[in-house]
Amino acid sequence: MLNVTYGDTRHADVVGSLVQALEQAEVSGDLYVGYPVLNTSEGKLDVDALLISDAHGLVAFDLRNPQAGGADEAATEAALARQDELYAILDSKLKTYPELRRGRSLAFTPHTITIVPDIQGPAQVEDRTFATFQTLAPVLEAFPPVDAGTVRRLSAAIQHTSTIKPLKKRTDVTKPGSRGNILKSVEAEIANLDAWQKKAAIEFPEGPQRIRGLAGSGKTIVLAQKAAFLHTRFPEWNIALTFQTRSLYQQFRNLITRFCFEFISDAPDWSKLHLLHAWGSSSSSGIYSEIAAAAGHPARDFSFAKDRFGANRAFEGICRELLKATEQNSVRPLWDVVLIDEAQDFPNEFFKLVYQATPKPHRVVWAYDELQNLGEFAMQPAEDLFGRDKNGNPKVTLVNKEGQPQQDIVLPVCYRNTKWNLTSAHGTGFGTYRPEGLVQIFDTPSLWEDIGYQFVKGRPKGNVDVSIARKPSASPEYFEKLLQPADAVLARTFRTAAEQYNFIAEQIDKNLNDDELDYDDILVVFCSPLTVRTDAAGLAAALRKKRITSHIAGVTSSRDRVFSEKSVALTGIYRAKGNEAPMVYVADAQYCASGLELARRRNILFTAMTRSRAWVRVTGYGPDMQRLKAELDAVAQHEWRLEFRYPTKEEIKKLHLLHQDMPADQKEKVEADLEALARIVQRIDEGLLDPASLPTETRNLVRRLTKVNGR
Amino acid sequence: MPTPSNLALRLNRFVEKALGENSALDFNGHVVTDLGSQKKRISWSEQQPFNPLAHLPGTLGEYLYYLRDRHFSLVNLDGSLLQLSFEIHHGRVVSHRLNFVPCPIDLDLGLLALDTLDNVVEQLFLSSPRTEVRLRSSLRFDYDPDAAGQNHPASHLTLNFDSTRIPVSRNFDVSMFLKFVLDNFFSGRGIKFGSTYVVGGDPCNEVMDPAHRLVPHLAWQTGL
Repeated sequence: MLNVTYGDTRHADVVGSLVQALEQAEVSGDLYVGYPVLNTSEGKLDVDALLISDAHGLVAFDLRNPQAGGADEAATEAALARQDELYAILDSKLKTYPELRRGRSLAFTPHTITIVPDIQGPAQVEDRTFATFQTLAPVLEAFPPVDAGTVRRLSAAIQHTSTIKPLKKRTDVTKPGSRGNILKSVEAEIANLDAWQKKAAIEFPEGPQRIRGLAGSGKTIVLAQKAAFLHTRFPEWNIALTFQTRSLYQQFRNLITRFCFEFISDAPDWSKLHLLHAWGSSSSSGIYSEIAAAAGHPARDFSFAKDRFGANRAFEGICRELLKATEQNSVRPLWDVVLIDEAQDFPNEFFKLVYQATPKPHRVVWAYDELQNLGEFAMQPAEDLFGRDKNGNPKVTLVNKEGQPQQDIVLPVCYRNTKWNLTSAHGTGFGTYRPEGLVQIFDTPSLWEDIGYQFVKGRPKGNVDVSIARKPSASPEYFEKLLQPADAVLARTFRTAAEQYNFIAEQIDKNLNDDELDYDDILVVFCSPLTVRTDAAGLAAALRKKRITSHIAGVTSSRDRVFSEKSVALTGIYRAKGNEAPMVYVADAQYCASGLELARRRNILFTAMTRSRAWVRVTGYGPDMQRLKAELDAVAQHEWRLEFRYPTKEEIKKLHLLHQDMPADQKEKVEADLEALARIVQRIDEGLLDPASLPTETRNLVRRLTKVNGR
Repeated sequence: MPTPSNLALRLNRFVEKALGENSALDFNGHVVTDLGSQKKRISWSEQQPFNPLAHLPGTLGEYLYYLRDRHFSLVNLDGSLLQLSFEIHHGRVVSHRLNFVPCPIDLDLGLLALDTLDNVVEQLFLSSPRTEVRLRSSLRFDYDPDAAGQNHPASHLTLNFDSTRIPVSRNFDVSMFLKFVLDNFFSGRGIKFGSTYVVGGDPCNEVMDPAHRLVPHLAWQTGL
């Protein structure tokens, strides 16, 4: 099969014919169009098309000299020179990768071909080749094959994914089979981009682009590579990359710098490539503050925003206010491209502002974690995000056309989480094995397959029994080779919080002293957002008794590195987002088992569990944790399949109503009612109230309540 | 006389309790560092090396440096910081750094829902200087008899300027310092501080040069 990635659309007709010719010749491999961009002493060199194939090796196509090979000697000379240049650059660039060398030479020969409509002179001039679409197949057949391992390494080099290999060497890992050793193996796996990531990183359509993927599907790396690629391809463009979590700034800066050095052996020009927090401040620009300045509108600070719009709607409020102001004072375009990470965290008004700040064709790329919150409502469709024009037509619609850069890309493979963890997280997030029934489920059934699941049994239709499992292709092989499912996900119940913290501290002690893990390989996530500090204090005390220092990440400083080489990171769920660690302890998980706004609680559990790159331990205490553990165990007992009766549309609607977030005043009332009920029960238990003395109607209500749970 | 590990334990229990009782935003564990010659430092666990001269005192830069590089023992609910650091030699406290660093703004805790403390303080400090900023100096009680001299009392209070050294009659112990902070900077403000955990008392010895008694200074009696 031929995977085509469209990094450029300038030679669309010729490229289309090339793809057709290659497909007709049944060539399989990866074809990159307009990629990579290579650096020469005289400037940048675009590669019109590059084929990497087991059967034919590496072939660089020259598509810009159609007059060559005929009577026009100058054109022929130009084509020969271009082929020489392509060969020289590829040869010298690829020789810098030791894994691609054999002795002093490359382990394969890069080939070059100029595509022409017809050939009047010699088809071969030394190592330079001319071919038409008709003669292409036999020309390619003459190139010797290259072994699959070399092709993989070659792909990594071309994609520059060797750049993103972890920098941690783990030189002090010595025990075979230790967790540290296992991690070393996992991290050594060559991280080639998969087909979807290639498209997301390299393809740029004439207009907006949406990139969706599970947490851990590589979006940050893809966006960083995209930003670097666009910057090297179009150095005159003003490119902005924005995000919500400030700690992403340094991560993006490092990645983009590394990619740029790989592409063009030079640092990025930060006066053209801007890393901007969404809001901005007096000390650092942001998307909002830049647009406000351009519109002559005051950029609002936290205090104003919170007082005027409330903490929960602060950013939305100021964006809405600015949007209104730009109706009076339209904004001149500020950036040629805007890339948005964590798009699910931004209000629609922000997208509308960004749309205004980019010229036609409005190159806005937004990436978000599909279902990090298990509520697909988190992200609006493009039509709602960007609004409608005067005639009521959506300003943005996403269409994927064959043979063109894709506008809507889904990344279905999760590289961070094991399939056992991901399935457990989805299973408990949805409440699949909850005795009382599901908590939530996708509105759009097709999402299952989009994010890498398959229906082993049944189809997503109401009242149908289904069995859903991760597709083998949606999970990297190395997890199965290197990890054990029973060790990947563990749940434990304790009687008290203190017992729980003692257990976690013992385990962390073992991780550091026996398992050859480092402090920064471990993350503890507390599920209850309201009690993080008090919970963290309890665990910190237990860790201190083991002489293990710890710190709370992301409360007082955004510029902390979350992780430290000398201290274990403890964090609440909101600051855990965007971070990952090989060993994750999800503490106080009983908070997620039951209660008001259950969907949100289950989302917290999902997010916490999916921080793990290898092992996850879900702990908690009390009867609620026992129930949660039973659900987690059920996923394993069903061999990592989610088996349930698929709800009808009406049932799905009802689930939303039952378990969704409540307005604050409603929640207060319900909580007050629950407290009153608890007091009545307590009076009965203390013998202060005789249940028989309750009015008949009340006794009937109580019976109804107990019947709901089947107890 | 406190042993280094005992003092570290007491400091850790204090900060853990403060956090556990919801009287603090953040904390650092305290560790014992061997300085050689049987001298030990008991101080917050440093993730970055601490440079006390990195920023001018009483500046936004100083506050943000302490916060962002985690050079604190405790961050109080109002955003102020405590730095608690001692050196013990042969069973005696031979120096301490007890620093109360007020928050540069009047902190609305609700703003922490929007961003982390450092960004909230920085943004409001720079965008609303007339309304949000509070011109308050840190108060640092230093004790260092080895550096004592005519203009450098062994125990002194530094505020406003780095060269200010108001004579103090005794070295502090932790509980006395925390009580001083509580009584003078939190009492009556309706903001929880510290913890009911008793950090324990160590001797606060008279260390003042008689000449310093003839000028305004800080003194208190013990053992009433």
